[in-house]
Amino acid sequence: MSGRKAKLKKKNLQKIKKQKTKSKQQRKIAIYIVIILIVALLGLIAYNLIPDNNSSKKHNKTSTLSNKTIKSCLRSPVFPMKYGLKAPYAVDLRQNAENMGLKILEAKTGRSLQLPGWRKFGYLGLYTLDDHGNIYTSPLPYVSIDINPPKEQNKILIVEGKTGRMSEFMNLPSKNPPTPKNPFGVIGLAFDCETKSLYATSIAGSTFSDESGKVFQIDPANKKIKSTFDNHDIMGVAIFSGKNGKRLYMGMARKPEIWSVGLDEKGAFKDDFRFEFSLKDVPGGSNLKAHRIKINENRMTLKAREFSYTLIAASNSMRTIYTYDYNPQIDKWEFVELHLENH
Amino acid sequence: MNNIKFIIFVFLALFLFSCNGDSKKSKVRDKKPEKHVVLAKPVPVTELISKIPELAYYHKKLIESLKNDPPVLLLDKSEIRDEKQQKAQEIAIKNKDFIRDVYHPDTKEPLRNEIMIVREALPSDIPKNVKCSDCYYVSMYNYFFNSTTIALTDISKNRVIKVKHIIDGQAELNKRLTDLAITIAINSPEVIEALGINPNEKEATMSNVKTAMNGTKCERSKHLCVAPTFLNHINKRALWAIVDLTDWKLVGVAWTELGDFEGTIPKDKTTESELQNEFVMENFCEKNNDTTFGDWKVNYRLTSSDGLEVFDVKYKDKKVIRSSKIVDWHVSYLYKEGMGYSDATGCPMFSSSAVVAFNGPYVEKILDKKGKKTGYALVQDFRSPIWPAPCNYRYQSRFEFYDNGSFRITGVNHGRGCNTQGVYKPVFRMDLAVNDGEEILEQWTGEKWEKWKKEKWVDQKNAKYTKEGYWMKLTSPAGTGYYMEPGNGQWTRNRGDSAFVYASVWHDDIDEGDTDMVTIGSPGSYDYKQGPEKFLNPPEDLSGQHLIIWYVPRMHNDNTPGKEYCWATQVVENGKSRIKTWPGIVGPKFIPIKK
Repeated sequence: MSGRKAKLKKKNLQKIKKQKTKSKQQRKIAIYIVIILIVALLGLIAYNLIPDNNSSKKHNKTSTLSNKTIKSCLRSPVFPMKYGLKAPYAVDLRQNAENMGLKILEAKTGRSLQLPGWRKFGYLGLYTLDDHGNIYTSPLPYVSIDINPPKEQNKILIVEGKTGRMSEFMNLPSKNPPTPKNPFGVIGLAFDCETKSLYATSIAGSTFSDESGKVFQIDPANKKIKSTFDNHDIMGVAIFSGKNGKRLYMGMARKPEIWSVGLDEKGAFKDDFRFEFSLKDVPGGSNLKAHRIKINENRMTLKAREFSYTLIAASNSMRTIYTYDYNPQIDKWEFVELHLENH
Repeated sequence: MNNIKFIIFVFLALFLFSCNGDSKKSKVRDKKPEKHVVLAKPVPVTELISKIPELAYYHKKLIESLKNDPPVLLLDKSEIRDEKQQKAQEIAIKNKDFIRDVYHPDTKEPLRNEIMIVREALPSDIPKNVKCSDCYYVSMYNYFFNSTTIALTDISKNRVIKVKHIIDGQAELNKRLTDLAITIAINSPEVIEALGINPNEKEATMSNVKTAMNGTKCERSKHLCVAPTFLNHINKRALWAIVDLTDWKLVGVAWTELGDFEGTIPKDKTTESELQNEFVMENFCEKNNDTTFGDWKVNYRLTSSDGLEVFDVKYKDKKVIRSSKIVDWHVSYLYKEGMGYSDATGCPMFSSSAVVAFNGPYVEKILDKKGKKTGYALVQDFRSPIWPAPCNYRYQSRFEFYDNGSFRITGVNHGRGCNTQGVYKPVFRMDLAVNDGEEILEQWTGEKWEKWKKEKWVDQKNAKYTKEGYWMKLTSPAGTGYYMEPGNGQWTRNRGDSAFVYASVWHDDIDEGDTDMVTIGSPGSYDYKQGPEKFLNPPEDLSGQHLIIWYVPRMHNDNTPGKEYCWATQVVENGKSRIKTWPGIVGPKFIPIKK
């Protein structure tokens, strides 16, 4: 019996010893992992702190890294075909004394289509498409407010993709009532193909002393406002998924700067509003405001103009095109170049 | 367990460490000192040249350089480091492409050009696949075109490898201009006043060349501008001055009270247009101001969209004008009937104006043909951003107050619009104060004064004038008041007003232009339908009423050489750009009736 007991004891001791060795090894592995993680983390921090002097060259090699691009779902309207236009088409919103409202141009021939009712909302601003081929746009005053009265400017208009009928899609609320001192309402529009959200910026009712503009997240299916981003006057907007998730990039109306805010999985605004870059801080940069933003394949193109909440008499007003490239390694936009639109 | 604690500690520490940097940044961003802006009063260049020897020397060198071929102000020996740089400069100015724009393309006049930087080329300056063994970078700024030309020269092969022209691009500054900018700034009363002391040049914290280039821009004048910055530790004020190196003047200053702020000057860069807009908004926009010229006391304010308004104007303590302003400028083009714009003028921000105030109102002396002062004018300038480029506009509201008690209300049109078939129609609203109650408007028939009984309008083409040139008179029942003399080509820069005159009844309870008006009328029409006619329908009886006079002149622009009118163009003057204008001035004069 005692011999058997001693055998068992020995066996148990060996087992415990084995277990101890095993747990020692596991602990060692865990420590190694932690050390590797810390080194990696420190490396990453150090990398981010190193000034990037040659970013444009680096960008070319790394531009496709890690950021997830949003697959476009935007569709062209079908109604132009019914009127004899052949695809591809262009939406023509160039506004001047002789051109008011919306036109569709046949890209190859320049043939244009303007249906009855496309001038009734006066001069128009920017547009976006959706996944059904609908065109969203908004009224925007041009030289004077007689055609575009301030109280009519906080609207989103829709041109139905199937019929071409233009109508008021939504009249957005504003904190303060619109007045002639700020004759603008809805300015920027963007559609997110992932959450099927329509984003609209509005500066209606914003005054010299009270910045009360909003960005609206709208569900176009039921015309409901799902969330708002308040008390910032924004002009152009664009959606982009970078290294750390999807963000809405915004051209500020009061300063020549681009800021952004994160969007959650439902397209609502996160609480991480952040400065991206200033249009003044680049060679040749100026006090211009980004009223149109386009992002395509890691390249942001901004159309900027002088804007101070007044109208424009000059039909040949200055427009400057700024180009920036996204660097996913540092999650930042890097200046490429700028040029005048007419050059 | 201890290991887990250790890991949490490390991550927490790292997290806190990384957050700390951001929070510091955000605190600095949030703690924004209050900003004040001041626009500099114009100082004649001759005065500045006599005051600043460095500028006098620079001016002399520039004038000499215009006589050279090519007309380029080179870096002198004190600014050139070695023979290689000297050679690079010489090679560049012999290159046809590099000096492509040094003369005016049409008139062949020499333009002002200046070499800014000569240095060894950096790897980033040299294009791929270009071999350049002893490569130098040479940049030249052209003051007329506001452009920069860059040459890459290979001094070992004695040739220029590449030339790049940058339109609307400003080069890095050479040392002489950097020094000159500081000198101009610290000799300006606005800088001295804002800093609270006469700043020592050593204290000037001029941005380094690159930062200064990025620091500011004169986007409206398209001049070469730089921003010397100053920090006064005693007064805790940081000052950002914008110096125009094309015209050698201080544009203005933006300064901040730093309070407990420690460290460097806030990097809130200010440009010319921001400075001008902020100054006008802060001081004049919808804010009542007053001024006195001799026996005249004038209240004025810049409106949101009715230009400059004068109100409660008194002559020898007697009220003469209750309110006068130009509510719209209608622009139509003869080549297309019915097409036109309605340009409102007013505040540069937050207004429905299309042509906005540039700087604030200013006063100038009115001189007769012999140069004797006869009165003062209060003037406000309104411009499109890139006037005089085509389809851009510049208007002025100009109120002339004469020492003898007469006054003239005018609109000035500097062109130049979209083409030479433009018709400009400023809509004047004039609420004179010949009497607080009843006023009588009479028109000269050629034989006698005929009283207007009902609200109506008339066209100047049918007007008859007294031998003095008077068309109408506005009086009190006691007979005191003013004759109205319209423009008939008798004044400088006036080809006749071709005006419509309307009289409407003023109502205490109906706002027909007492406050800011939205645009009125049909801008494309050439006839009387300019807006005031809507206040005449149905025509009310004028007897016993206080009246509003509406006056809408018509002016046709003209670019015929020697006969220009309502026109502007860019000319060469001392090698730089000068805007030459041929303004059209319209509006009636009011002469006191002597009993």
